[in-house]
Amino acid sequence: MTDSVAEEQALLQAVADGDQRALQTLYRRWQPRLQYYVQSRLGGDAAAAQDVVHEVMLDVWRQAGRFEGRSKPLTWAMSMAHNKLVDYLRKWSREDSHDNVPEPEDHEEGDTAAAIQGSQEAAYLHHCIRQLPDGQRDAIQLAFFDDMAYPDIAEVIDCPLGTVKTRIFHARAQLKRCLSALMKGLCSLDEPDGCSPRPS
Amino acid sequence: MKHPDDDLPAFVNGTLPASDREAIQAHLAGCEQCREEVHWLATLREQMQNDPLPAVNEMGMARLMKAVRDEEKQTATSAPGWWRGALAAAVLVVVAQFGVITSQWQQETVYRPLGETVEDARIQVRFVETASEAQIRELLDRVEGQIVAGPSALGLYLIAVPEGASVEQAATTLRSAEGIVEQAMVESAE
Repeated sequence: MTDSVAEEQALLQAVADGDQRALQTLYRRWQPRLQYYVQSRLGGDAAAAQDVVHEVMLDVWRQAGRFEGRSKPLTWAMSMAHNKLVDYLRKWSREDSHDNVPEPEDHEEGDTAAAIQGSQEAAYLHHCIRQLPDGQRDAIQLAFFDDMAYPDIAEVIDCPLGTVKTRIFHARAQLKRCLSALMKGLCSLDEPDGCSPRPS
Repeated sequence: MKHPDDDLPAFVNGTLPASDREAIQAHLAGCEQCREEVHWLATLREQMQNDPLPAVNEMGMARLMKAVRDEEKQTATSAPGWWRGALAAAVLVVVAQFGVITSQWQQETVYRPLGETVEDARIQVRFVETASEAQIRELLDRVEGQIVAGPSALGLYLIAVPEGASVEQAATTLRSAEGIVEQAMVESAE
């Protein structure tokens, strides 16, 4: 167990005992990460994301005593954030498309690693990440932004381990296709609905 | 060996168990295709992590702590008899320590468990209306202060500084923050 996980377990125990300062410490540690995760799923809506994170941290206060230590504390909190997010999206009738988005027409992949190394190219990557179905975007973000292990990702997004692997696999392929299409000018950053190649 | 495609993301983000890691490294030594995939995934990870995390939302924390206190109040009013007695004792302690503050603090009572220590002094602050969250956060970091209550109806926040720190000095620093702090006053619980 890492020092930071042990520290957070101790903080959660203190929160369970009613220690408000421990809650503030956890808030300082977790809020930026929770905010980033939720906000990116809400299309950048910072205010809505703040509301969701507020609810998550309030649940941390209410439910700290129920944390059983079977996962990392942050994974537990991220899992609550994911559930709140799903509830929020359901409430506002936004569709969670998961993996049901049709695959775009395949075209030859270029050097997609080179495509995301420059600053202009970073915009390509952000564009392509935004085009991913929600389930794939969650999985790839938790894997590469949060450096989470597959079992932790599975707990956060509440799905089997195999589904996590499948989503990451499809996300990688989709990102490559999207970046390749942008590099070749087959689509542009202005296109809101993805990077399907333009008809010739 | 079959291409370990599913394991490459975990290899790149450092979460693959050590034994599997060695097997992947051995495979990579002889597989150009997988080396390229690892390079692409590493670049992807690096680029994603270049995105800065947002700063801590101090106002969000104040909002959370207010909600927590409100819940505590709710619990107190619906608590069974023996617990109500213990809470009443706790309230007496807290009210004694926060006597001055509570009168100006919209009669907002803070409930704390018996035996919890309360700092001797805190600072009551009113921020300038146009002060940004980033300015306030930077200022609070400078005095190592934390918002523990507020805003009251009068727009006042209560700032706690760490045990051992000079409250007077922190208050002076806060007062000297022109354009951010309108007033800062040390409140003693004695």
